[in-house]
Amino acid sequence: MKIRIKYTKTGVLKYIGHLDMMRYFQKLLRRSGMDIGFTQGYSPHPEISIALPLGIGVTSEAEYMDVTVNSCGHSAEMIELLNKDQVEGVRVLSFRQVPDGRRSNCMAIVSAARYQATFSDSMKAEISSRKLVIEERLQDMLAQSSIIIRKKTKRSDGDADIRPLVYEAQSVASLSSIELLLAAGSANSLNPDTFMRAFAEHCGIEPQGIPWHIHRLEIYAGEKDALVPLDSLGEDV
Amino acid sequence: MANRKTALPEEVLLSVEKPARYIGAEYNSVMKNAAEVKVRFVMCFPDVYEIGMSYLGIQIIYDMLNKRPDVWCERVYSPWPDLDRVLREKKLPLFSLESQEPVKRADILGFTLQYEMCYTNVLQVLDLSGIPLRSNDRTEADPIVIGGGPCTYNPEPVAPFFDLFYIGEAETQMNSLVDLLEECRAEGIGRTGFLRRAARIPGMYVPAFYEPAYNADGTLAAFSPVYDDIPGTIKRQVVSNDDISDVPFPERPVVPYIQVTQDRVVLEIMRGCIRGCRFCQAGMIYRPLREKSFEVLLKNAETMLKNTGYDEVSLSSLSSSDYSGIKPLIDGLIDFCGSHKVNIALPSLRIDAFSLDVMKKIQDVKKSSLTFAPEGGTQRIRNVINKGLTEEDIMGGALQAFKGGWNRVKLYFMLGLPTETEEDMRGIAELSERIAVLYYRNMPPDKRKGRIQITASASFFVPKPFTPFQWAVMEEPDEYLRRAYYVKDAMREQHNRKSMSFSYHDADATILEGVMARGDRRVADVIENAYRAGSIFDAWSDYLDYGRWMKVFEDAGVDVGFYTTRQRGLDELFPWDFIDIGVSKSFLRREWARALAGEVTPNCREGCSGCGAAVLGGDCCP
Ligand code: SF4
Ligand code: SF4
Repeated sequence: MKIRIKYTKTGVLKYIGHLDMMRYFQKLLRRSGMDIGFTQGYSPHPEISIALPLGIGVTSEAEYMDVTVNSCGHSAEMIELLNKDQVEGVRVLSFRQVPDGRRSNCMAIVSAARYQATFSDSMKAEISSRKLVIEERLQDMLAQSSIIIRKKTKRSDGDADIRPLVYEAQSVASLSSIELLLAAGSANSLNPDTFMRAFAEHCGIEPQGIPWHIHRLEIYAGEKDALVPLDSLGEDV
Repeated sequence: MANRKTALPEEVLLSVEKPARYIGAEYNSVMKNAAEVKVRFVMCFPDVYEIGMSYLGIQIIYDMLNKRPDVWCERVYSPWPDLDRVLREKKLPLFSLESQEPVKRADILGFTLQYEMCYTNVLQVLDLSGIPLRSNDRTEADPIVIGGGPCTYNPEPVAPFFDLFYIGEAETQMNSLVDLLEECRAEGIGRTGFLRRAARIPGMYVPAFYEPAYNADGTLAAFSPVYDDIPGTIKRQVVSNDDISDVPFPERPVVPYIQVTQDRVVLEIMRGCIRGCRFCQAGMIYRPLREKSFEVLLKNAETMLKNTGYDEVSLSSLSSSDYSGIKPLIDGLIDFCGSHKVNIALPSLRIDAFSLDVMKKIQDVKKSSLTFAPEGGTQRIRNVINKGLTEEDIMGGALQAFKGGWNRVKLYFMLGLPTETEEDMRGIAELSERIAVLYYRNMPPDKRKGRIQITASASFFVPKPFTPFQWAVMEEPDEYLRRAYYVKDAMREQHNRKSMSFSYHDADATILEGVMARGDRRVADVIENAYRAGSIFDAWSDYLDYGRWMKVFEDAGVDVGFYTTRQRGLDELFPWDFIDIGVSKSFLRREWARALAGEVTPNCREGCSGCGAAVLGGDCCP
């Protein structure tokens, strides 16, 4: 059966890349003694997939991973078992059974993700010295029918419109953070950092050093107007 | 321990390659309260994290010291050149991984010296830590800097940089050394007093207390202690065969986040080697053979796998096929690993019916290759180097393997061996050709899995202290490449050339390694100057600047040829002769004579040759 695990990745773990996190979990699952499903062949390893890679430098309170198990205990027990043996920064939050099959795989169903971007002190100073009101700047940015950015990848070099990929953007209470809901997943995806760079440009600010810290708040599946968190698609066992 | 702090600010960590090298916090890394320990020990492998983390020795010391409540052992590795630059620019001190605090705060900083080309990295670590490079410039504010590992069997080229060398295996005297430091602290005794007492612990060599004297021709005339109460000869300290099964093993090895070279559980099955290949330093300095019992090993492997979650276990030894319990050990491992879906890696197994059978069970034949290390191209040169592997062994093993489905063969050779002739060089190509012919003759086209792939590679021989070849003369720098080209050309002349390839190691490093391996204290200035001129990571061919090194030698007036191409006298006093490794100089001399006469010496199981190491208590010693 397929289990979806929700976990955090905070603190110094933000320096650990996506593939290394996979390796970390493979070892954790082996240590836990859980009855996990292995891949076939000469070097069998636990069958796991992570919903949406998290860039180095980004933290998260909602990471998701699907793992195949042959049998397991109750969700609460399994959460306790996995957290007993954890490095600082990783906490398992939920452990739920989801439907089997490739099409329900966490990687396949991701459609959006929510982030919080918090400005660094120097950015905050820059913003206030220019007397910018973040919420206003955000709203007039989003009011545009298109937001064109220069896209430079290894393969192509051209313009792209990111406006359709921005579902929500608003400043949050402290005025030093922006909350974003962006398209994510294999079909259409917008990196929060890309959005933030476009926003800085819109404000006429050239970002220096590490201008903001990005924290992932949730990952969703479903259509744009009916988004559901990935773990709501499962049941506790 | 919430909210772990990093020594490096975020913008630095995010600007360097692989920040995970510098944050610590790995699973099984040990955190302690600094206020509650008496001694803070930092262990350093002076190379990049991925290399250093792969070394079992540090895991052993880490485990052993951290079992003591009064000691906190941490780790540090060489910052990669990208971070090195930032640390210098921003004047940030080098820090240990666990506490993320400056290395300089440690009471003891221990280096493991695994290869000569890491010497400038030792200076890098000291320098970035703000510790004076030379022992005699250090004060009470600096850690005691100690060195261990194979390079300490000739510590002289780096002697001025160390306060103390530990000659032998960590399990024997490390705890006494730490105890002594605690005692000295309690009595208010400072570093000189500590070193004075430490020099009386067996195996401890304090270079400042020994003085070399030189002859007019530059050779060593005498090497003696400056005090009466410290020994003139330092005896290597080892665990005897009787105790080897009981030595603590790292029950909870630190598990890195990023992929490192040795990304698996490493099971040390024995120490020492019975073979006595005459070029091989490990074969001499780790004598005699000491084997752990396979029952103990199976338990150790299980414990380590459970405590790490690794998906692979590898046997570690100099020559695993010679381990007398190899069959029950491998059977036991296959049993456990099969049911736990763990892979088994078996490096350094000789190719024969047994190992082929095992390999078939544990790995994908299509993806694996056969490895032979004949080291020399003809039987004549193999006799000179005392490499027991014969042509029949290779052909017999290869034929069985071909029938089992293998079609990739790796061959390891050395060039620049004493007495080597062009015939021996051609022999590399001709042996490769005969293996190809063997394949095509014996494998009918319908049974072949494509063309055979033979990859021959050659490293250049560097004479090492405490080997029968310590008297050997090295070649001039260009000669190494000429020999490599000669082999390359000979490969091209073979009928089956399309099935073979030949590669060779960096020749530049060979000369430098040669100087440092058999150098004396006068080489230390050159190492320091090379470091000051910008040399680090010399073990990495991309970073090694041979021209700069040569200029530094020239400026210092140190003659490279004195250490490399000079004919050493049979009775010459060597800079490392004050160390007693167990194996006697007269045995080495005898072996050197036999080498030149092309005579083979039996291995320790076939018969004892009276090398002298029996006093240390070996498995097959009389
Ligand atoms: S088999 Fe020969 S080369 Fe290998 S470790 Fe033993 S002595 Fe050295
Ligand atoms: S004393 Fe004999 S058996 Fe022991 S290591 Fe030396 S040669 Fe081998």
